[in-house]
Amino acid sequence: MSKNIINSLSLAALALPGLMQDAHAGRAEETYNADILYGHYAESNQRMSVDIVNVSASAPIGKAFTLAVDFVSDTMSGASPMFNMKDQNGQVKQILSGASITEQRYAGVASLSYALEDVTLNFGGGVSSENDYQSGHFNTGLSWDLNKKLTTLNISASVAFDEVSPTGYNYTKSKTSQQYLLGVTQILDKHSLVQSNMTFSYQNGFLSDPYKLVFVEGGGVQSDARPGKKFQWGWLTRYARHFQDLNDAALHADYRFYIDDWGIQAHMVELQWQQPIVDEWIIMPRFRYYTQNQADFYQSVFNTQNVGSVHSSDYRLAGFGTLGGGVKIMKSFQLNGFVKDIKLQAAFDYFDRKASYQIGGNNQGSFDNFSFYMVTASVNVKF
Amino acid sequence: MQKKWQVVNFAFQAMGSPCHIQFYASSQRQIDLAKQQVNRCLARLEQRYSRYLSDSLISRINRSAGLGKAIPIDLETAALLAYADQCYQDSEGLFDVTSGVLRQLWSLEKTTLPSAAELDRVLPLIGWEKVQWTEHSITLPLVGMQLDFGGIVKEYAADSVAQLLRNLEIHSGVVELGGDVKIIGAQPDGQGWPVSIRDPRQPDQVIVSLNLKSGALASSGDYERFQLIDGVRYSHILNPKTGKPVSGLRAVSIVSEHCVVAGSLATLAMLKGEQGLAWLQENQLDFFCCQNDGEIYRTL
Repeated sequence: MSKNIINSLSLAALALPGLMQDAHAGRAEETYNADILYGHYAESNQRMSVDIVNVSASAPIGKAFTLAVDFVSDTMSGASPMFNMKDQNGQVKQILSGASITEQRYAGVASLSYALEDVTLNFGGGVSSENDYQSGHFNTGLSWDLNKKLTTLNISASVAFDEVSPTGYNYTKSKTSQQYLLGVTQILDKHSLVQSNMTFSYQNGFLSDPYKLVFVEGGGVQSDARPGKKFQWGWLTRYARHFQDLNDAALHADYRFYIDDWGIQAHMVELQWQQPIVDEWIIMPRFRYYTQNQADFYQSVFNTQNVGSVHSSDYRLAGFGTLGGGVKIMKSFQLNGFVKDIKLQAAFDYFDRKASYQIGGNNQGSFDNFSFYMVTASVNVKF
Repeated sequence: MQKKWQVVNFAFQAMGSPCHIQFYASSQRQIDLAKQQVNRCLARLEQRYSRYLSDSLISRINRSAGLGKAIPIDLETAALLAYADQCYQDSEGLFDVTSGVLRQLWSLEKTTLPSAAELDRVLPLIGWEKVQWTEHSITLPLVGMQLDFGGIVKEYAADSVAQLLRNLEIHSGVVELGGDVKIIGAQPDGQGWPVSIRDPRQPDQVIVSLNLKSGALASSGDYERFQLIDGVRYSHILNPKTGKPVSGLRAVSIVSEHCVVAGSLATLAMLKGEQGLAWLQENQLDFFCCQNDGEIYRTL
């Protein structure tokens, strides 16, 4: 009989939630989440601007399932570059689409995740619709905690089907895309972790931009024409470190390498510092540098000798660099009632895109330089 | 980098008692988060289990008694009921969370002993085995039945607060909620925390000073809460089987790993009455106790 009652009660006490080590472990939190985000993106020189409204929510279902839904509405307006040509002095000039058009895009995504002891499975799908563009995708993923949760493996696959019916043309073209991700997150010690994600994607079908043209000296304009296949490989490495002595600050450092079989290689470095101040106010300054070289079939303007059967003057396939950064401010309120937690966030980022920022230099000139900014504000509620 | 530890003293009033938490923290944010989460945790427990709040879960359950209505409960409440059930089983019905209804017969304002008729009216309302409960709901079948987590919730709160501070990477500290103590972890130099037990005969005097590096201490007894009727001292701990105050022990303190376990063992020792001391010894508990005759026995 001796010790029996202590053992018996101690065992019963261990089932009390307050005595469990880290009540959040092993399972998505049992909270309902709702998010509303508004964003405004604008490019310089009255080029494109986009107003973004994003509403998302997630809810636990039973003990192991979590359902998440996400809805986006984008309103795009403004002019966009169509092609480049040379003026009387031989200088390259960018020609923008004339009328300022307003376009609307709606997208919806739903996903269901299932959490087991060490493995979380995720299935999802979504659609996106514009008057000239329809897209649908499915994805599935697996996240596996190993090595006493010090290591997490992520594997995912997705497939997308897109259809474009350009305004003013009488055709519909399609493309399919597949993407695979293989990632690993390793906790190094109590204060740091490293994450490495590799993505492979393959697209085939109509990959040209129906609204873009190329200018051929002595030959007028032709439609943008790109290869019918594209293979892409990206590799993101992230290092995160927590500084307890600096009032729980954290550093995130990302490096991303990208290469595709169109001849583009890109590098991206991003640094973010997360500094808690007082009363759950957090300020996050961030900095980003991006550089890429031009695609094999890119030229700002072509001539009859070099225009070939694949050609593009799309500024996104040019060689350039982007430099910028911003700041994000977060404030949380923890409450006791029906609503458990409210988080407000606001961010501003500004980027400057210049041909001359390309690593190793670029002599293409400044005709397609521009800058852009993005402002966002969001409210997250947990209940 | 050298850690700049600072000791934090956090004193406040909660669950009707003075509370004091002491811990070592390494940043202001950690301190802010700790205070915020402690307040939140205790407010939640009070909101659910306080008998004095008319809209608490426990008050709603008690009001629904006899109405045949199942009141939905959350996982934490279900776990506390399961713990209370274990206490009831292990004590052969002596530790019964439905015995609080007896308090109306023995409240501090009363100056006379309850009559046999009064006892006969109230005793049938006691009995954990009558309560219908599942993981999701509870039904008190008889009008007047009451649930009371005294002897469990304050102690559970001390354990919960210690665990949530550990989750915030606070590993050195001590939590004291109205005399119930739970150690978060030893002091940074490896020393234990001083913990004292008051003398039940002279409550302003310390009778035992302990130094605890881990574990918990909880007490039960008549330090201040007892009543004198015709010159006889009656305990506030009431036996669910007889409906009468226990006698035998005046106060018991127990050291165990978990505060909630120490608290229920201390209450149970009181309920054992004249057999209390023998029961403490037989179960090889780490205890301090004072008998009604003022005699002190201790293994601490």
